[in-house]
Amino acid sequence: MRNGRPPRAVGGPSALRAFLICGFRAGACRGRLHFLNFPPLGVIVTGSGKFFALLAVAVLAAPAPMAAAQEESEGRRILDVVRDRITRELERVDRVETAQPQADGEPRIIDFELTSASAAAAALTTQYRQSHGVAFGKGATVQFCTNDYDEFNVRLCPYPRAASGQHAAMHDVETGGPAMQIGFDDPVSSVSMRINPTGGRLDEEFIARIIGFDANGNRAGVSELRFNWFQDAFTWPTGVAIEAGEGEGFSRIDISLRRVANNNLPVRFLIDDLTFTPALLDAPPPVAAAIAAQDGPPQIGRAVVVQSPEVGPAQSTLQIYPAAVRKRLAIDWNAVDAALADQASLGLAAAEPAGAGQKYVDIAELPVLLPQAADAGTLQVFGNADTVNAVWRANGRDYSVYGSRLVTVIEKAQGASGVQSAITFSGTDDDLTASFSLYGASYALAQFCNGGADADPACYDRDALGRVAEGLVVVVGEAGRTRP
Amino acid sequence: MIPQRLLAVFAIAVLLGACGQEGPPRPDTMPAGAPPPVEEDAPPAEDEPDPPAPPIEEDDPPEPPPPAFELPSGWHGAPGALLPGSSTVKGSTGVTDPSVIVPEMVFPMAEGPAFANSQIFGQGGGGYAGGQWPGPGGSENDPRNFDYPWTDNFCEVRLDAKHATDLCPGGKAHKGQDLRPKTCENAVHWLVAPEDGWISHVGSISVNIMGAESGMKYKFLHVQMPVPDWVKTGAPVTQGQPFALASDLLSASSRATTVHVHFEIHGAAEVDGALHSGALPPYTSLVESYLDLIDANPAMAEPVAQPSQDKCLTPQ
Repeated sequence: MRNGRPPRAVGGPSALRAFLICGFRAGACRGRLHFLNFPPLGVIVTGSGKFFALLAVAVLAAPAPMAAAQEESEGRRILDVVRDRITRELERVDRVETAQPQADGEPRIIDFELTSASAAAAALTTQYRQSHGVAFGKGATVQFCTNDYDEFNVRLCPYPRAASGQHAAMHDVETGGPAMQIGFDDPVSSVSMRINPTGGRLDEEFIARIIGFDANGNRAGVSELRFNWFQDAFTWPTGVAIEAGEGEGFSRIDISLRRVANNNLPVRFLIDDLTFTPALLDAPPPVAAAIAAQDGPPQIGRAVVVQSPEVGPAQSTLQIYPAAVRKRLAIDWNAVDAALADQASLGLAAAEPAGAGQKYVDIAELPVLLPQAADAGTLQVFGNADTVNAVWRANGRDYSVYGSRLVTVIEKAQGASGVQSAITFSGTDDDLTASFSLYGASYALAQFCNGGADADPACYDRDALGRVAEGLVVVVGEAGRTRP
Repeated sequence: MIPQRLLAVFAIAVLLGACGQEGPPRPDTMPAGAPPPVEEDAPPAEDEPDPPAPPIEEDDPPEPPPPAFELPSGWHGAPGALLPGSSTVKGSTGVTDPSVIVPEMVFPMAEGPAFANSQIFGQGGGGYAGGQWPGPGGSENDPRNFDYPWTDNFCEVRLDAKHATDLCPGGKAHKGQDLRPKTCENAVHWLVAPEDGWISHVGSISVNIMGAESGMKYKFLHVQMPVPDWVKTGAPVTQGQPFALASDLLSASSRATTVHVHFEIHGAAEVDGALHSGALPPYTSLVESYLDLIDANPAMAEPVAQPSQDKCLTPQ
């Protein structure tokens, strides 16, 4: 919230989406940036490589001579009026972002209006890590510019004010190298911003370049724009963007600006209103993300003994050996609820169990993992309150996921601790199984061989099993909703 | 070439013999064919003196029934006690924890006797990995393979990735228990559901059953194919219900193993405070359920003579 006013949801995500689509998809809006209601003077689009990387530029403001004439004749008052007209619109963007947490797939904005003027020149590092999942590399700072004039009528900033508000991010090549590095905790499908040199000559030629990198640090796309800079605009006229190909995303981008007249020397520059869109297709479903996030052997949390040599009828039937101690694990229902909410936001849902399957989902007192898709009528579920087994067929193969909140205590297992990991793979001549812990319970996901391993060695493909895991969603039935 | 009429006479004789045996009720589809009982008494040595004649009594009481077979002491080895030289890490033991994982289960074969022992390190076994873990050789149908004592082979050596298990030294092992049926005959010995539950998968040579009470998943490998028509994924089973036959199928196209079933129990375990999920040691659960089986019919515990080799050949 800024200016002491409550946030207003103006425009909304669909408008923001339209902004991105119009600005950076070739032909989508015929090169117009409708959001600001200024006619663009030019749009340049380039693409290259495997990834569909686009870069667009739009000159948004009125021509510089007109603005200068206004300032000369009517002084700052007119300038302020015009500036405010622009600023008002841009503030709406900021408030939308503030008021509405964005779902995955919706664009998000960093306007760099961190806190106050005291933040000026502060290094940008991880200030936006927690709120936006964005971190900045060396050389990035926050700049502050009010567009005010001192008593000698000299502007306090050497460049036009930021694209929104009074703050912008600046990259200094002396301390940070030729490019500003921006890392994203979750891959993004597109990034856009306005970019501006901190100085230059009227109509001087610059080259803006954005390079995108995937999660492995491999170069995954590049976007480049040559443009002629002019200073006397109401705000920065040049917008740049990069967009990943379908199903791909960037985990880092490097932004640079080079002066053509000086042998393409990297120069200092500013960016503002960094806009990025989390890659919808790259965002793993909650179940897969939770599996992937595991590190080290899963530890037993709170558990209650439900069978032991001292308790219960099991021991009475045994003649030589003691009954194993059996425990019931506690479920992390808060984590389950969070996963359910994430799934809902992503529009994920389980396939429908056949026959009486839903009955067993409903009696299960643990989160049930089910596939999102299965061949018609093949998803079967059976089990009891503590253990559920779902089996289905898809893509010409049989699968099974087995979940349980019961554990048997084994105390004399030789060498057990040395080989444990978060996910263990095993199999027989007929299947490959991945075992892991999730939400406190134990799960085993299996893919079966068609006609045995000899006939179908692909059934031992761990990557294929991983893709099956990515398709799982968590389901809670009637009993589970009581958080037993 | 044996005349068909002779074969029919032989089959009737065998069936009649089977009718005379005691045992649990079996479904009509269960194959009969138990061999006739074998004389246990050995002839006396020539140089031994004749035993004294029993005193003659005027009214001889009826001859008492022969004593019921009793399991010999030491009829089963300790949990985790593998055959020497058969563990992945040579010299190490298997899972020595004696706890019975599934007290509620019944023995997974319809009849006794049955023998928990190793296939590749038992008589006729060739060992593992080209002789690095040598086996004794000989005949698979050696009577010693169909006799006591039982031996745990959960942690028997296996080295490929699919045999990964957290519970055995070296991290890879057999992770199941091999069970030989009463005789070496192929595709005649019924396997039964350890508890009420559901068929959870039918593979090329395997059947999985999920237990409705324990929640454990039981895996039977080397079952004769095809299984009965009703044995399909999702089909309910009741405890003790026969569902498939033990066989020598190593894969869908190979009959290269001995007649036996590889039996696994799958579930979750707490080991040193960490959660393990996968195959659990079934040995003591089998010991206890076997005792239940033979308590109901002690004669079932007694080993029988093996039929001729050709009876144990794979039916074509």
